[in-house]
Amino acid sequence: MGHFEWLMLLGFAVPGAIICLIHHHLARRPR
Amino acid sequence: MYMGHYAIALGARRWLRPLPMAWLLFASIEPDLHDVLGSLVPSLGIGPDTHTLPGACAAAVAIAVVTALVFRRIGLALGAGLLVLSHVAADYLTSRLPLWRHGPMVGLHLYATPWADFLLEAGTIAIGLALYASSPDLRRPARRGVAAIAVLMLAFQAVWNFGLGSG
Repeated sequence: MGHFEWLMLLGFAVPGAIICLIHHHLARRPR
Repeated sequence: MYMGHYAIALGARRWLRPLPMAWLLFASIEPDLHDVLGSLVPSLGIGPDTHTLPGACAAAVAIAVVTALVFRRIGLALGAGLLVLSHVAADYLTSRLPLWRHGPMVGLHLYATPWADFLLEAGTIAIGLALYASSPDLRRPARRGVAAIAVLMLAFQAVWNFGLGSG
């Protein structure tokens, strides 16, 4: 995997993981 | 488009709440991940077709079928498929891409004007997060969490537009 592919993967994975974490704290569990 | 894809996924969650956030984010960037997957495992790649209309339609159908099988709801499957299609539609604003293999190149190529791209993506982020924040299943007040997501996305977008010298 080339430099650009790694950059693209990290560039999506890092913010994606943080968004999921914040969303996990914001979303109420379904009753 | 970069963070705008995630913004579209966040906005779409307003109507696709049963789908996990990671699933929505994944669907919104499937064509880019397909490029990476193709470089890792060539047999799974579809070459230069990931960002063409036929390639995006095929990926949208595949994601819709998997979503229907896993979540058992046609509406959710359609939504996930539309998220995949939104990727290529949005990329026609920021890049120049072929409509089909060897087909005509179309697109505004806003990447060539980083401020214009940043403004477009920031606007998309604002709209997407406004829709996300209006979801009835979020804890209230959700302002701080939504603001944190906005800062995160704008920061990554700024690095993309102004920090990497990408075009």
